[in-house]
Amino acid sequence: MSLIEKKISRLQSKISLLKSLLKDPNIPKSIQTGIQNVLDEVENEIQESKTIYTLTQTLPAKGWILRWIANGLSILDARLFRLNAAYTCLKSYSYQRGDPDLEISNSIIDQYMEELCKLSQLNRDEIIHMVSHSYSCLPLGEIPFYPVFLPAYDLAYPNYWGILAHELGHIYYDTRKEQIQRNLLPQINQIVREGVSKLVSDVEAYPISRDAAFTWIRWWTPEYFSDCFATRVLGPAYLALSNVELFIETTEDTEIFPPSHPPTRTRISLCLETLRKLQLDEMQPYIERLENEFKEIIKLPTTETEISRKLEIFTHPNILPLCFKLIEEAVDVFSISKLWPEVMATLEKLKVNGRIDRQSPLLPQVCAATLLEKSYPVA
Amino acid sequence: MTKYWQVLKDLEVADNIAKTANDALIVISMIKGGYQTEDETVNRQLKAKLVAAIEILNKAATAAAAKITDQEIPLEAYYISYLVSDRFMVPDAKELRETIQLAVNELKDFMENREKPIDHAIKLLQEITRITSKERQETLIELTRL
Repeated sequence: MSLIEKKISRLQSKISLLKSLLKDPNIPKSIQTGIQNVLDEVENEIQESKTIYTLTQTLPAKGWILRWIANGLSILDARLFRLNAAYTCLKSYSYQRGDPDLEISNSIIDQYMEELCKLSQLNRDEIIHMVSHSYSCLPLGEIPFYPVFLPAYDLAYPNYWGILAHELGHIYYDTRKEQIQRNLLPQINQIVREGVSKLVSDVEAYPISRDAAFTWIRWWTPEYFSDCFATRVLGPAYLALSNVELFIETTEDTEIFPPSHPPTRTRISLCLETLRKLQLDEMQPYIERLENEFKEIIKLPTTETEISRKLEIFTHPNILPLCFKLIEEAVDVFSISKLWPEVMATLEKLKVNGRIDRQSPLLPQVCAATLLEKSYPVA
Repeated sequence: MTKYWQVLKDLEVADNIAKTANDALIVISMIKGGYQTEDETVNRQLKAKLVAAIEILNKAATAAAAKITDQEIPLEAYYISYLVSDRFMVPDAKELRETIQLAVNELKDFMENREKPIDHAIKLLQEITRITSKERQETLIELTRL
């Protein structure tokens, strides 16, 4: 058997194994079918490589063909790598679903996610939540499901589940990616490139505007978008809990370039701006309190490095407000303002009852609990 | 907190571009190596792979042209442009567009006549597979660091 044949055989066995492992009753059927379809597609492509390999056997000189066939198989192997990642996620999910210790918290988080998805019109069937080391979301590209992770220490603390809204914001972004790629990103690309070019010398204009546009498109726009999404859905509660979890841990003095997340002060500015635009008088005291809290952070001086100089340019006042405006317009999700009277009413109930009631919608209660800065048990 | 997100997305985009370029190289190598068949289904399949490569190159040409005229660039074209231009080290958009156009013309001629020269197209497609392969390796390394 030739090396190419061995590689084909190896890939085929990987697919067979992944297919057999998929049959798990805890894995939602729609996700199983989605992965099965991708596996079938990869299997067909492998079969096609095999056919081409056979067709070329009679040719006298086939060195280059073999090289390209081998290269093509490596690319298919990379797709299997992602499917394997999906599989390991799903097995952990299946295990956690069967764990009696997690049963209650899973069902409460299910209810909370259900409400969030319904309000933001996301397909709940494509989203699973799991316990992991931190809050994150792992979209698996062509594989049609989104695992969302939360840390074990927050299972019993709904006050922090607001960060899940930020993660759902990433999913919302992904489900609208065609529209975003067609409308939002080209405009941001143009604003950033033009804005940066005017701020630097002719020599630097090309490399810095290229880096700036790539950083904005690749990394920052989804983050700002998700912050805006979470702020609209949760109102001041998002910023209140983000104060503790999301922003404080992100320092301005990064050594990594380009940084995957935008500078803290700019994220806070966007959230505050989004809050103001919700135009609810009752929210004013909360917004003012948050503004005062964050004032000190925003004023913090940054260390002068080459990276910080670039970040200053990328977030220049000629660029930032224009991009923020576009992002805010693109986040056309439900707003908490519709639920605000309920949140206000819940504040009083929480103070009296001292617990979050599972029989009532969780979202307003979690928002209210966050604003009261107190942890309440769910009963 | 979701750095995985873009990293995996980029891997997917890079893989799709690499697969298209690589498939075209297989077909070119087969034809140049003397492969012939009367089977129309096979011929159609092979031709489709060259057409797909032309489409990818045209997108890169669009991106290069947009750079020259400062037009809006769709994300995929932007990414191809990033790969081909910035990583290929052809920062001059005009030169890049000409290089791509030459390759596209060669591919089109080659589809009509297998004796026509195709060296520029091969070189460009090889570069695309090399760059995307490098991108894939770097992305996988980045993933293990996250």
